[in-house]
Amino acid sequence: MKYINKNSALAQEFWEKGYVEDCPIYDFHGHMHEMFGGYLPAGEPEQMLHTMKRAHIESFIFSSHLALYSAEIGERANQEPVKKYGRPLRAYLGVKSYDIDFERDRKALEENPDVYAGCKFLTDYYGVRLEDPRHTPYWEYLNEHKLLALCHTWGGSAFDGPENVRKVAHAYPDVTIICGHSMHGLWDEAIDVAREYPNVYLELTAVMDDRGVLEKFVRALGSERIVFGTDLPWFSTFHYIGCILDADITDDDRRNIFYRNGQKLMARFQ
Amino acid sequence: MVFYDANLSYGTEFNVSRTPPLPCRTIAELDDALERAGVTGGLVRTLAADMSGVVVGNRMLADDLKTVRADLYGMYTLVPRYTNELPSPEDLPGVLKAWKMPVLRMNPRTHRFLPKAGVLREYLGMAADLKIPVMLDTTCGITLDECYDLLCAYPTLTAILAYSNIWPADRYYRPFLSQFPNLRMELSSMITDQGIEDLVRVYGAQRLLFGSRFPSMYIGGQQLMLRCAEISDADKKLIAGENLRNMIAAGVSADAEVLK
Repeated sequence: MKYINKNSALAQEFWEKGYVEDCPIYDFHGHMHEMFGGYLPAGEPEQMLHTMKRAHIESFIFSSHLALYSAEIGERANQEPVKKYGRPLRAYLGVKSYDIDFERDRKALEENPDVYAGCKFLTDYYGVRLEDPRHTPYWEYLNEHKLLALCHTWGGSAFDGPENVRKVAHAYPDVTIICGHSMHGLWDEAIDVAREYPNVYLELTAVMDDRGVLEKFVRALGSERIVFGTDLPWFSTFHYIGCILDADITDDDRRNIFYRNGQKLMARFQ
Repeated sequence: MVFYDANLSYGTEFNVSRTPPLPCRTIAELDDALERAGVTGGLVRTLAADMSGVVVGNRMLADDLKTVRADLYGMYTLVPRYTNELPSPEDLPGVLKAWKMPVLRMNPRTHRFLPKAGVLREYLGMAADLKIPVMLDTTCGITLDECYDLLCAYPTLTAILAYSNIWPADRYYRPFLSQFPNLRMELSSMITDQGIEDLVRVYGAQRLLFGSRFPSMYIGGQQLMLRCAEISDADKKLIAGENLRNMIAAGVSADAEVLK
């Protein structure tokens, strides 16, 4: 019996062990630690590293819930796990729109070049637009240093919808903008924005529970501008791998999404 | 592993905005999709029961079930008895058996009735007595609040809870597993990392059912998650299909006893 997708050799290989030696995973959308809105059975760094090892995750870029939501704890929650465990961990500095202090954050970025790959913008949660002037020094810094910006993006949002992404993608062409959740729901607009701006990538967290969207992305955009992400420890890495193996795309597309695109984006940090 | 999927559907949605990007319009398409994914059988509903109506839809599903290769069982759609559209609670078990539809379901918002225990009491009472499973799916016109109220009125009901919420939602659904001993949880939206392992530790594998919610969601996601879960092979087999088959068999045998 063949499972998941009898037409995919890669699916059958993953079925055997849960990972494939020459197909590592690059996860561009992670978190860590406790989260106010739900119980996470495996949110501590050691538990997550266990999952990462089992799923053959070669690179995991995260921003701790505590860095994003707790002004009291802040970046310690990102820095300590990366310093303690190293690879595959890298962090996004949380741009806390409710507690902006660019000098504090610039210092954190510059003192910890081995910790950070860029910044995380969670503007929907904070009620502040991506292009808000309070964020300008962060975008300028990211642009100057050619870093990553993982942006929570959601269809219909006034804070991080397609028009907001267009504004920052246009103004800061040297920032690699990873659209977390791919402007969820406005799939055609997400494709349009990615076509218009070569520095924009679509990311798959919370996309994979809508069967057919990935196929739409790949048909319209190709698989070179799509990166893997899970919100781990929210969503199971294995669940997301299984969805991508099930999708009606080629194994070559799957490899682009699982690691080839990620390797290109992360090469400078290795 | 032998997979039986507890949450399948097919048919044509008339509201274009609710049509999934990759719909599954016919049972033949569903049959092919199950074969592609290595799924042996499962529980299926037809959208026709909600789009066309319960009388037409239930009959259509019964007829369609005769045409498939997969070992599929139907979900029979209920409305309250007071309009006499469906067989009476006394006659319904025989129909379910004859039509290979051993599970009841409902869509109160679409069919426009109150999802109250008193409104459905004849059917739910019969289902509780005969151990006929009732699917409570929050994508089908019933809220989690309403499911909870129904189960408080029928705490021993054999029920399947399909809670559509991919957020880590244990605070919502664990009270159901704790308080209603004959309730099983369908796992299509339970995609939290190490969530299966944690639920098995607390409630045991007997309470969990593999389900995909195909065609709205991928079958492969939950398959690989279960395959890679750090639980025993015996527990994986239970979740993958044995629990669902046992539920169906229990309903059928209780029904047979009563029908004697």
